[in-house]
Amino acid sequence: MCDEHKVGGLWEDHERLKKYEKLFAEAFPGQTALDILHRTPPHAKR
Amino acid sequence: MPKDKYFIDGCILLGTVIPDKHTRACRSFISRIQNDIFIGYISPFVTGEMFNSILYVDDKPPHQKYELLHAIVDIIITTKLNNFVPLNNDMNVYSELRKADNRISESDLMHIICAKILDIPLVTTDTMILDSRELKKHVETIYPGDV
Repeated sequence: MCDEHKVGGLWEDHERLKKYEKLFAEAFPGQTALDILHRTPPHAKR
Repeated sequence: MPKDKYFIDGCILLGTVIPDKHTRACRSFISRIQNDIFIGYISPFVTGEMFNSILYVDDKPPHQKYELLHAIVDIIITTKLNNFVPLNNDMNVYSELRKADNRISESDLMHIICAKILDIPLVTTDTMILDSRELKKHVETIYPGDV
């Protein structure tokens, strides 16, 4: 696993937390966690 | 002494990295799960809801979706959560809970059902769930700052 893709120990790794905050802020500007989760996903064809 | 157990809505996990008025409460609650003070449960419905919210965004390039999905996996693994998978006939409480509050989305109802099956509180920041008097008759719902 490369350094850019660490897994585990996130809450003690402030740099990685900041990186994720930036990632979500850039992807979903101005949106909250509930806004992101509550978008209606497309339904699979039956 | 037995540890308290909680079922965790996806908004708590995402709330740890998406700063808003709930972030402090979400991080404090999640850190107590990670530090083995509480036992935390999610289900495939929780991971599915989070993954779908990234996978089905139309205007994001694949590499950006990959980074966001990796962040979610990191949060799940870091937090040391238990994955609850309902067994045969567990979901027979669906109709009872759907009748209790028909405003709740299907994905949120699945979290409520899992908490009901496990007989543990659901932790969420979703005010529609937290304010539902009818749901409270079936499942305890708690804001993370109140745990």
